[in-house]
Amino acid sequence: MLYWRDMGRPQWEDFVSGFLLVGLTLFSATSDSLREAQNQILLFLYENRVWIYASLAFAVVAFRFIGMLRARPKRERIRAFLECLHEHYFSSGPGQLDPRFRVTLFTPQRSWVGRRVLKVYARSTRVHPTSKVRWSIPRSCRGKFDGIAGAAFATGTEIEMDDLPGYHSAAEEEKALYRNATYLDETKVRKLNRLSRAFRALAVKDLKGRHVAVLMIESEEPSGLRDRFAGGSLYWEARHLQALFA
Amino acid sequence: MQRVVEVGPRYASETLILRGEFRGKLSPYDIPEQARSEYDVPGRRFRVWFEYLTPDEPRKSVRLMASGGGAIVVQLGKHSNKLYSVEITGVNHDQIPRVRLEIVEAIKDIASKLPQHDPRNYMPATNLGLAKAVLERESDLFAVSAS
Repeated sequence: MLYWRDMGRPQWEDFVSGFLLVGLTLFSATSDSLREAQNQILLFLYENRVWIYASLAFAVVAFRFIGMLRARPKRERIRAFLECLHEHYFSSGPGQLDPRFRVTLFTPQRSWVGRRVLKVYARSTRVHPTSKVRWSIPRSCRGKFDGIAGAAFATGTEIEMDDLPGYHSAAEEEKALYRNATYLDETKVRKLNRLSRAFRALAVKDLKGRHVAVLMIESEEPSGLRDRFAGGSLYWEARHLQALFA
Repeated sequence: MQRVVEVGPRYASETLILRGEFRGKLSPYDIPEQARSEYDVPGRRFRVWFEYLTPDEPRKSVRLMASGGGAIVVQLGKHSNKLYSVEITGVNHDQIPRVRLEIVEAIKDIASKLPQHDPRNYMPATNLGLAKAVLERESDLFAVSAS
């Protein structure tokens, strides 16, 4: 399902339906025949409520299932692209992906309570291909980000980070430094399977300039990305991801 | 005739964003690939614009007064606030080299109005700074011949 389509501002259809709803409400308040028709409809709905609830539940499940089926080829395409990136930059032999690195794409979704979060959409490695960790995207961030992915998405920028200390073997002071640099708190750190030491994160934008995803490249080596991305930005990756999301 | 200047990697140092604890840089979507300029003789209009990887972004216009009685119309991205074009009207062909300062001042004016504390403005503020640097350094853009 194209979750990122839900993230935009209200469209003109929302305003039209809003005006129609308000208009009908006002009209029904003044018209006897319409009020009568309204009562008939409400009575019909009440008498057939079980069937209506069942049909609605079935429709929701069916739409989600169809959405999942439709989204699968796109997700596979993007995963193939991420694997291609991984192999291009971090190959450890013909067709082999170096496990010290990983390439992930996060996309925005709404959680059940309506909160905007970033979630793993596809990942290059078969080790932890998905994650239960969500990165929040606050409407007004005011300098408070949730992880590097959250920071890249909120600011719409590219983030480069190298030479971070190894978290588990570090002293308390260095741990705090790590958390500060990566916009993490201790609760989040405990949830993560892997604490990388170098990052590249890029907010992916569509042709209309809307943020649609975050590309994240990670390395377990502190300077594992510096040589491979020396001096350049992720221009090529940005263009290809934009084409895949179009 | 249009003048074209390649921007891209030549302005890498202008793309860095260092605000407090935040360290980042402009993404490839917000670094102009090219800057172009053109002078329209009948309309006495000079226009300079930037081309990005996000060509379909809706625009919003900001209108400012130019010193010669004309107007400066600045087009910014609706979602991103990045600079797409600046057009200045009421300019004679021999005045083009001098309008550079006015355009740069207009960009500075717009940049100063962005709330600095909001991290969502880190990108547009840096983009405006980059556009200003391009216009200040690229004299070719202001050496346009009449079309």
